[in-house]
Amino acid sequence: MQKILFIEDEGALQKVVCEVLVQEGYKVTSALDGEKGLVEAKASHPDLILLDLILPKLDGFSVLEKLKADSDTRDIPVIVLTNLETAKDIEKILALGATTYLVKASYRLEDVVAKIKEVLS
Amino acid sequence: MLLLGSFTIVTILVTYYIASKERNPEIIIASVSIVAAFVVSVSFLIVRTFEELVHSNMLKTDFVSIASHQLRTPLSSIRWTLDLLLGNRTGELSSKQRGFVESIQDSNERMMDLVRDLLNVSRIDQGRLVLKRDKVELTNIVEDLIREMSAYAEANHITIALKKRPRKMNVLGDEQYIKMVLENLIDNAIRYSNKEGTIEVTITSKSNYVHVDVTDHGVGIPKNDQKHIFEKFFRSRNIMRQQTEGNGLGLFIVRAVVRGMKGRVGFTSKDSNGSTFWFELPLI
Repeated sequence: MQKILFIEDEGALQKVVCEVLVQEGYKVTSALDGEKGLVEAKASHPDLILLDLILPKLDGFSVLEKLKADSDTRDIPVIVLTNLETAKDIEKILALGATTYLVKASYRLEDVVAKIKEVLS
Repeated sequence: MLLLGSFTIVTILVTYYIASKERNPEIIIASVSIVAAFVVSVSFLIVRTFEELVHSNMLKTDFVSIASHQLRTPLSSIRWTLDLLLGNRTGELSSKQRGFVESIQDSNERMMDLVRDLLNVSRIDQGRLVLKRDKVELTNIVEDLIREMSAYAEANHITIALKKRPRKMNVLGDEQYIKMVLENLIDNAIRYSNKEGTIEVTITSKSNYVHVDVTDHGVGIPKNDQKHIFEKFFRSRNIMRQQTEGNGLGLFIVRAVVRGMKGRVGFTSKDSNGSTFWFELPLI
């Protein structure tokens, strides 16, 4: 069973995304802040990380940077799920090594699931 | 900075004039000191004003970023939760429950559209609207969008017809924003059409431009309102009587986006006799 780690501080969003991913047959773990996200990534070594950018304690940019700097977590694909969409932010996310990004407000739930399956396939 | 430089030169000249006319060294020193104090005070005020302007601009930029996240995140949560419920992923909803949940979905989508429009308006006002310059095949976009909007049009008893299907029309622009322009014009045409009406979308080429017309046979725009139609938050009086939905930002954004892609936009309309909104983009 493939494992997904979801790092997101918005509780309602966490709940609904985790629910749908479990229904799709994935094992899902989650973290509500960047620091816990990093700890969980190292501990569980998921097949995919979904990462928000505006996070307490350690923001998503820093989490991404640290994930890619660590040989244990460098190769885990990361999908950034965010509502930030300036060209500067997108360039930074991709330069830091994110596999792709999704602007939450532009996607329906099923689109997000489809993108996750595409990256994991 | 120009103001500061000019002011400094004037005070140097005045100081030189005083020094050249006056023989008494004490008077010269006093005059120079007064002028120097005056220059320093005015410089401080100019620099302070400049810093406040920069800070205010930064706050506006931060507002767009903050609003992007803080407003859209909870709305995204609601949207995805409703998608979960309406997708029957938590069990089948009764038809009554589905009705209520769909009402919430409609309201949420209106909120998301409003936030998106306000953010676009903010970017436009600050000169920060960034449009891609990709090769875009316009006819495909128009056909796809008409297909996507057919169900919405039918629900309003309106038919959308694509009147001309020319050869491929390639333009240089931002596909997402071109879709937004078309969706805006077609949505307006649907809203302001009479029931059982038809909307015609026509694509032609004129010189080096692709020209798209969206024509409805609905309520039209009164003559006195026409000069305001592209202004922010403007909604024609006859429209307000018909329906209160709509935020009055769509056409302001349409115009800014089309102009940003080096295009043109306009309309013709007669009160109670329909309107044709058109836009043109340079062909490549």
